[in-house]
Amino acid sequence: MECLDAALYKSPELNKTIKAKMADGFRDIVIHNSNSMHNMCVGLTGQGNITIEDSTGLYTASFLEGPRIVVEGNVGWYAGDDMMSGELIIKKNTGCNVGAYINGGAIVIYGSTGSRVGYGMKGGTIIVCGNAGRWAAQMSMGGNLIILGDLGRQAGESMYKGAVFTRDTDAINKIGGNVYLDEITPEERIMLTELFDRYEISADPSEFKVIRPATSGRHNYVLFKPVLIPEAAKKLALRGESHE
Amino acid sequence: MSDETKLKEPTDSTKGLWHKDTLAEIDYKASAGKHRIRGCATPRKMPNFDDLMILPGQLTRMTIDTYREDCETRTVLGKRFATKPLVIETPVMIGGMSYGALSKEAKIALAKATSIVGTVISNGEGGILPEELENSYRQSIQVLPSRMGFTKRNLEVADMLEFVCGIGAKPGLSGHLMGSKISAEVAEMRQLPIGIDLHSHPRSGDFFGADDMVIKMEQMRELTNWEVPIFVKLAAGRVREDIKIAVKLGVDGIILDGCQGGTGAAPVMAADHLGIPTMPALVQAVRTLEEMGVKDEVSLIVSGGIRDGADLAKALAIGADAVAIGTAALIAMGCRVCMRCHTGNCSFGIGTQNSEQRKNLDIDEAAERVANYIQAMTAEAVLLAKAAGKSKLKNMEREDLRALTLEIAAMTGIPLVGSDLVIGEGFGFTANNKI
Amino acid sequence: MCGIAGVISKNKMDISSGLISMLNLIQHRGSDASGIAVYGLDDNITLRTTMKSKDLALTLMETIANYATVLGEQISDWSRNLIFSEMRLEISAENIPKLHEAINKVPGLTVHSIGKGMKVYKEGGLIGNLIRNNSIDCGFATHGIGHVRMATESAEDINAAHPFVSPFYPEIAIVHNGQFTNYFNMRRFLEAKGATFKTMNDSEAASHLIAYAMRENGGDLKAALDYALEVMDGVFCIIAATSTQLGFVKDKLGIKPMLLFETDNLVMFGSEQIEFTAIADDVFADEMDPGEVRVWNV
Repeated sequence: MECLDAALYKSPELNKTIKAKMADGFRDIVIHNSNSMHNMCVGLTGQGNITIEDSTGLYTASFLEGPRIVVEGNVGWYAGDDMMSGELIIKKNTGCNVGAYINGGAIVIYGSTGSRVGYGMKGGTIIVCGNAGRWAAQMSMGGNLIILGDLGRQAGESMYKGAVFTRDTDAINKIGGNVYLDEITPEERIMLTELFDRYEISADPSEFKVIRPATSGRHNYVLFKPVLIPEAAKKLALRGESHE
Repeated sequence: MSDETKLKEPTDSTKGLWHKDTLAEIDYKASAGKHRIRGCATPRKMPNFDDLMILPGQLTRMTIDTYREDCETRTVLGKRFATKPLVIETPVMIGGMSYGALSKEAKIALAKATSIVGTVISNGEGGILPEELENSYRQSIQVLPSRMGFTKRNLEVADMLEFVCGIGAKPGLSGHLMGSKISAEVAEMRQLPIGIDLHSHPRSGDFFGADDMVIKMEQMRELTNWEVPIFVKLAAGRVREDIKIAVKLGVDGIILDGCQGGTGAAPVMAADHLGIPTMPALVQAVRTLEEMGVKDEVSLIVSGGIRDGADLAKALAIGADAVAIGTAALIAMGCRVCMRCHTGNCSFGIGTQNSEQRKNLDIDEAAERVANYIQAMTAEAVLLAKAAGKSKLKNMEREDLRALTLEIAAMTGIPLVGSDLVIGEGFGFTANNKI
Repeated sequence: MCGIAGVISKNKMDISSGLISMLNLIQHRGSDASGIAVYGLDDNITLRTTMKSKDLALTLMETIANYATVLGEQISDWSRNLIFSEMRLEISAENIPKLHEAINKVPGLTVHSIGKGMKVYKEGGLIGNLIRNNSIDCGFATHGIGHVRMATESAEDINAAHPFVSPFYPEIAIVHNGQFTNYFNMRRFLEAKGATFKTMNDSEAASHLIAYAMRENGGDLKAALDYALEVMDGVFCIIAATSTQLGFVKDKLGIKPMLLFETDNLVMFGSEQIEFTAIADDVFADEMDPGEVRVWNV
């Protein structure tokens, strides 16, 4: 196992060092003193397990393709964005827009996340054990988002493809536009069971429903939304009088 | 070179001043011995809102999602003094067009449209048609020099009052209604004899001049218990001077009608040569209101050739609070701008009193078409505002605009596209007046 | 983009140093300017101003003489492009807004702060400059806000750095991360109400707007921030502080970050998680909801 002290590096140099270590055959790397650094583990490829002992800043594990990254602390905004494959495991909480545009791989957040988790996601899996903020999986184009805690409002807003799994009992009032709430299929139940096992999450798949994109009646966008109050017209203020 | 090559004689086909229309006008005067009257608006090309472009947000401004994020269109008018300002759901109202110039069916259709979209319609000259009042969402009542069909009862049902000093199509002149359009019903409402040509009173008999008007305005406030927004409608001419006086009169708002406005009948000379175009008039009006320190209090409605959401968005950006449509609403109902409204011969049943022609206008279909048009026009303005980063239509700013030509830059003080060039006094915060 | 910070402490704390440490950790969010506003326990009324040239020193004194007595003065380096003056004043409460306005009306003079125990320090460039060029009061204080600026314009003008104050309500200071899309309309509205703008920075409009609302509603910060949320268009996270309140407003689309960490004794605000490690190790700050307004009484 290799240890790296992030305090000694700027992030491009740190990433370069990590890549070099992995190329040298080191499969397990631990990073100390991350101190909320940005762009940590960006673009890493191949096989390996990287553990970050503290918290990170923005764009952790962006464009990840292969390795398994575990962050013991919190991560900032945009973690795991554009991921291709691999795993990003976050032990605590995150900022907003985590897992934006991911193509594959898995992101597991044991804590809570902010708004727009999985924004435009195209594949892969994101699991949020805590609560999610607003606009979860906004405009997603594939993949699965699983939220165990509270669903934020306007969940699944305008999804084109993909699925958002929730056990929030008030989910029907929290879904966004162009989506609908549905029962999960037996295949999806099996998928959830496997995921919960793999990531040691204790949850019962049968409690989950799923938010799916509407395939018709979309694009009924209303840009003008009048709220009519005809009864406030002056002519009605006079009752029982007739006029020429 | 062959000897037989014929010499081609130039045809002088472009006649300069002496083109076909000029010839026709002279022929008319030569045979009729009088000035010509014509419906609709001036056909002349003039500066308008197309001469301005709107700047979109990009890196320095975040845009609002066209389809999935909201933009508020609700508009409040007349809050300067009125205790019950007018609240409409879109900053598009239907301007004053008289029952007389228009058929009953057209008026009812327009009124119904306002109830679908949540806006206000103005009755126009000649009284308030009971069916219009019954069907409108909100009703504006005009107080004109003629006072035809106007009684105290009108004050009781008005959500807004307009003191009409002039209209853009024929500023300095008053109403025209040809005898052929004064049917029994129209005559009864206006308390006139049937069938004689009507040339309305030139000026109000109960106030001559601004000094009287100030006192008249106090009287109106008493009569309406300060509840009803009172506007004055001005044709765009000496905009600065007229607006200064209007503000001093104590009005809640101003309707400014540019020379591209239409009407049922107007002398061609008036329509084509009197007044100034809507867009530069609006700029001048806004500058004046600001000079007087009342821009935030006095509502400003602009009309005269408003066609679409771009005109609306740009008018709001310059500083209008709302626009009024006239001709455009008629076109939505089917008018094809033949410009013969003054004859009363309208096969669409819009600008006529002829009972056969009126049957051609299906009221509910026409109402739906006008409502659709207003809805879509509002959506167009919303689209533009969102692209400029606004979540409320009223947040459009003059700094969002640029002038396409030097003339327009000089006319408005808006910078020329692609540069910081400002000609004359900049309109808003421009490169030559930043700190 | 910019970075913001805020601290409220129930226990005695050197807020100035705390804010500077927090800002140091987000220096990368903006290197054009930085600033802090601290509300201390000092009973004196402090006036901090800048002068564009030393010839204005006399004008400044004359203006002050109409409203207050000067008890003591400190001048920064006279050779700088912008000269900083800090004075202790004896002045009645009613005269504070009048003096604030009178000084701002003079071209070349700008008030950075005027109030009891209230001090705003701001400076161009990196935070190092802020510390080097100002003798920052590091005594015990109750709360404060801070800012690092990435300028889109008027970067050289130190007066255009945050925090901003306004004569409408002199004790309020604000910091802002974001961009308004209706700045010009807001500015015209506020100028019609009598505001004198000293910069072209759109954040200055927010300070006048919120201060104006405070003046009109008698000092209710929550109502003022609710009003600002409605009137201001664009993206924004704003932290505002008075001598007795501190609050934030986050725009309805939730585009800019607003993080909060709260315990019984300490409340911290920031743009990034890392800021919080300055004062409390390994804490997780919550992301606030879009359209949220919250105020604390200090």
